[in-house]
Amino acid sequence: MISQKTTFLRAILPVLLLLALSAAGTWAAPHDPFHQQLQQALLPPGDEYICGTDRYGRCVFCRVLAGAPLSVLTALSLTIAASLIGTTAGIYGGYYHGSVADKFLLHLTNIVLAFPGMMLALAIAGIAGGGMLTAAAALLCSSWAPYARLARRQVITIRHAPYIEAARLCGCTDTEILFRYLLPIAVKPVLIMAAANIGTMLLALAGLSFLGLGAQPPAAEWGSMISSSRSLLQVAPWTVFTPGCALFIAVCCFNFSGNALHDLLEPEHNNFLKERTYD
Amino acid sequence: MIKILYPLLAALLLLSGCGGKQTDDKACFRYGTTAYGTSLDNAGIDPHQSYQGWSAIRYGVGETLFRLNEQSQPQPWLAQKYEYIDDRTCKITLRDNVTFSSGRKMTAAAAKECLEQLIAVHSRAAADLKIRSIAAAGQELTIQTTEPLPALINYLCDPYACIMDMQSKTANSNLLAGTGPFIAQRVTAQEIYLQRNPHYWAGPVQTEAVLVKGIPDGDTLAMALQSGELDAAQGLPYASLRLFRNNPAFKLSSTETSRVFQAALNFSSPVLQDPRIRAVIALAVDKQAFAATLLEGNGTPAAGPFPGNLPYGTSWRSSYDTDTARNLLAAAGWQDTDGDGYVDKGGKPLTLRWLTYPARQELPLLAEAAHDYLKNIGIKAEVNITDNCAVFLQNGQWDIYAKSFVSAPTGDPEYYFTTHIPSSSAYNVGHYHNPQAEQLLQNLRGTADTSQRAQIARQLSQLITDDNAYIYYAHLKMTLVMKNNVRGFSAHPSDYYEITAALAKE
Repeated sequence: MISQKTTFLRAILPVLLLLALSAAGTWAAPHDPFHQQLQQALLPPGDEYICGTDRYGRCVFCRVLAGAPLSVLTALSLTIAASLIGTTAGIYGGYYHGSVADKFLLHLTNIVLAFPGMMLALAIAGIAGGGMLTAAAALLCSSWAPYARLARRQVITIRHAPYIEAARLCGCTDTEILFRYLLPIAVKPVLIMAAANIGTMLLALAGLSFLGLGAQPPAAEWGSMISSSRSLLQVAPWTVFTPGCALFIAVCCFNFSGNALHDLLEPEHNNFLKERTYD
Repeated sequence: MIKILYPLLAALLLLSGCGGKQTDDKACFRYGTTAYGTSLDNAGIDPHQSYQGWSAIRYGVGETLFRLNEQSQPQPWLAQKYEYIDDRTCKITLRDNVTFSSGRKMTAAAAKECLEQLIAVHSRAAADLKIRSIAAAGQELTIQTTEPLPALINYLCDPYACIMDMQSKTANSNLLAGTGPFIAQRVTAQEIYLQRNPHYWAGPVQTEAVLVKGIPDGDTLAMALQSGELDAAQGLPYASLRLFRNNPAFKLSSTETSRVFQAALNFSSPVLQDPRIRAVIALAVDKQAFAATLLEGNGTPAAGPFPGNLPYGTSWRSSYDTDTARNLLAAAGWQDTDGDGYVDKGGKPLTLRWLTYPARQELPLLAEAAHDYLKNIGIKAEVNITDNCAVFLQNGQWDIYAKSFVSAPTGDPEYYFTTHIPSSSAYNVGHYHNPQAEQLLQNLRGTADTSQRAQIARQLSQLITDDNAYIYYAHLKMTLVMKNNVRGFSAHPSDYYEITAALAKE
């Protein structure tokens, strides 16, 4: 039987590789991903350009590599930021349950959650105008709420637990109780949720760029690469499929690692897999 | 769930069947275009509303008194002839055999009603035509202008001057009766359904019905044409044209047009007040490569606002010279002192904000190409492709604004200069001001002789090109793609006349 830990390590390896590639970005590219050579436009995949060139004669493979930091690291950073903001707001709201601030937070969370996340992000990015920063801000605005609700729920269930009361009696301040005793309890489900959401964030970011609300040319963001090469789908399919495959692989990597993390941290909820393992 | 799903699917099928009732007919010509829709201000056929006249003319609903020929010269259409009584009065004799699709005869009185309504509600037309009074007697229409207007006949070719039966206009309907080979039966923001005009004055109409569908996405359009949903299409992405070019099931009709892709420079921007920097921007881009590779040969490099084949056009000569551009930058005090590849002065890099919009497929291509060309000589360009250009223009958040413009819509150069040279003109967004150019424009307005007008226009083009107030990149070569069995459908240099009585499907 393969242990959960081994499964997790296997799932996390591709993610680490992806992150390493993202960190390397342009350095790992054999050609300058931004240098245009119009006489080399739309060359099919070959020895020199393994994924061909785009309509500006740029190496598509190099652009996918150069786009990894923008696509992967931005999605990762956004997920971390959204989970941090949401969790902080959630544990405060939960701890001061019933206060004006908690009620305000609850209503705000409900309002944000009432809209489909992508629709809200589209509306914000559409009003604020295009650009990677705007797109990131729009996604952040629409993605913190589930974390806040989850953290708040966790804290509400344990805030009167005997060990919390004991800590209070021992003279611990609210901040100490929040960060020393409550945060570690809330962190686990938040971490699982965040890991599962990185892929979704990656797709959402690519979606906004695809619609022209994210990265602007000549940035090599995967969504904008797919969008700008859309009209070449039939005549130069490599210009669309290469960034498309990169996006697919990255999302799969993050989703598998998210599942593995879930299995590792909450094995008791993994009944289906348990049954299969024992079979 | 399945119990709900099946009736829903059945209802959808029924609905689609109803929708196709009028259009599934083999006699119906289905035409898809990216050039129809609310975002282009031409969704409708009322010529007195924004650019709806283009749709009325393009799709064969209405006609103008004069039309442009292949050489962009005005020729009588609903008019039979004209003569200038004096420099402000023009007498136009109308054809005697023309009736509107409402059945009413097209008389001078009907044309007068239409033109008077036009100048009352359409500010651009009123500014162009400068009409003081219109008199009608039988088939004779006499137009008096407030000042000498040698280009009056040219302006009457503009689609806003499409002659419609004003008595057919009702408050509850967007349908109007014109004199064209087709009668509009249904007009929405997405499509126009037309039927043959059985009493068309210029002879029999070959096609029973036409459905014009506005499809803003070029790729969708290409796939609709490939799948057989459309008989013809206009506005396909350049890359998609390869799919049809060597395909025996399709044929193409191309023509050079006066649609120019140009960039206005912002004279309010401190860095662009230096003429050397403006010259650098003009020298930096290889227009020939842009037209040949990125437009895939569907454009010709431009040296001025008008293509070289027009009498007042500018012949192409290459201005791509990166060495001179670098020298000019250095002379202006911009040098790469920190080795980052971009020139700087006083510790600040030379950064230019390139603003454009995505509605014309050529403009994002130009923006991305220009970004690299400018980078090659050490200028950092920040590209902003947005539908909200108006906001950025108003706030001054731009240095270079690239747009597409039909420079000779009336076959005369005056319109372009009127809209781009005076400080107060509609499209002079960069606040370009040159008293010499304004004086030349005045001379142009007061000159009736065609060859002299052409000469003044060439001087004006040279002046604004020397000032680098506007940089011209390419002129569009318009292409229509159609099934091989389509006849009588071809691209016209003016971009006005598409659906005609000669259109037929074999």
